[in-house]
Amino acid sequence: MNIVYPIISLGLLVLVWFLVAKAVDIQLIVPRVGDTFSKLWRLLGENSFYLALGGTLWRSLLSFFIALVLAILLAIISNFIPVIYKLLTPIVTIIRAIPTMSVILLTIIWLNSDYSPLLITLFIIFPIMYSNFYTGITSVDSELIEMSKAYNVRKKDMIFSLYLPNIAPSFFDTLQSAISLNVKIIISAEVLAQTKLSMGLMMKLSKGILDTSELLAWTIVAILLSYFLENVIILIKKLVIRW
Amino acid sequence: MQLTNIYKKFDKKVVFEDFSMNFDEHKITCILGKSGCGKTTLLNIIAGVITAESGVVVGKSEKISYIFQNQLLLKNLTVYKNLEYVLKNTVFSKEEINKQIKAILDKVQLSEYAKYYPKQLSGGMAQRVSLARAFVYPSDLILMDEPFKGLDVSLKKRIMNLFKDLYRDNSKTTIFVTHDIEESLILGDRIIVLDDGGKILLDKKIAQSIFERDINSLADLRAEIYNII
Repeated sequence: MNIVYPIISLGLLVLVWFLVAKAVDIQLIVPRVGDTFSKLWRLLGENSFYLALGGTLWRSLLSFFIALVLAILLAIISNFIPVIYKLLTPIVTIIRAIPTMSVILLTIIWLNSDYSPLLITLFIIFPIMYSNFYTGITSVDSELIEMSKAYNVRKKDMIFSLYLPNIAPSFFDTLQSAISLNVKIIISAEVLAQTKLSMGLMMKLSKGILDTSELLAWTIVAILLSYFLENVIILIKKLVIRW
Repeated sequence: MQLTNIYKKFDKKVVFEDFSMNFDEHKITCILGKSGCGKTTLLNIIAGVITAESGVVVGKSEKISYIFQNQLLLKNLTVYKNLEYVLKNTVFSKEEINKQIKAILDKVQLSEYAKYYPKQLSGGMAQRVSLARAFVYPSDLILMDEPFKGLDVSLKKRIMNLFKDLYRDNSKTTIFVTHDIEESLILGDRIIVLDDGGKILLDKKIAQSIFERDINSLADLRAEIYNII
């Protein structure tokens, strides 16, 4: 039952694509479904495909983990030291308000094309993670904290049995939405920075030679990559949260 | 245990002004009073969850059990793990903890539910776990904050009887805060009625043991409490 609806909606989407491509009938504007998938199939046989995919995946994961570690550490510190929270809040608010394109263009100016996507993601993903983690930590039921204190429970046991499990659901929800956003931003940054060995650069090249079907093939790869990473997080969430 | 010259305020509201009281060991002291008179604050001061501006608590046990109105079980831990959670920082060895938990779950008739998570339990079962936690914890003092509030009549009766059974085996000094006069007459060895600012309106001991008590014989006391509360 769970798989029926996604199949129907995907089928409908492909059908619309098929009909629009047939109606427009200009390969450059709307490539045919068959052409796009045969292009995808051809890409799968090329070494450069895996190098680009690997490069983007590596940058996505690296920036994601840097943002994650930074957000966790600062959220914990902010919880225990209110001054840090008060100091960080305006900075985080400003960073959140900066238009994504400004961040991308500025970091491309500041850093070389290999590293700018990392910094861009940090700017965009970190504030989201930090705010959500901080809310998660501070929303732990104060009565449960009082109960634990009354029963003289060790700090270590409180962290592992009370704090972390309470934060876990919102933690994984944040990771789940952040990871696909991360892939999108990394690819945008790669396009603009023309990062070597990246999906973004391949997309830019496809556009440059007006190969729209290849551009769409890369888009499908990007969607699948996000879907895959999101599902890895859902799987970890299921393994961790069993209550 | 003795509270001496306790002074506590929240913002500008003075909850206790020079409050002093002795609590009898191995007895149940019931504290009655209208909402906001500081009953829970008193328990929290004794538990050390909050501190008073001035005053001292003398002869307090290092280890205290606390039974709350909301059972306050950790939703991510099974019944067994919830009990183990409070026992890890005690002198008990791992084997001893296991033995104690099995014994108390047997007493509260929840042995089959050891591996259940709180959301799989009914309200009555969760309150039984909460009682089990209080009695398995090696404390000398039990603080109870309206633990029977919100339970239907028959469930309340069963849980109160279960409390008596556990208390019969292990008579820890108990301070029981409630707004329900009947509960205090059923379980109290001593009944105290508090007013605003920690003023004591009534302080009566009941000679009859809670195990052989005829509640009807306390009609005069009931009427007296009704009149002042």
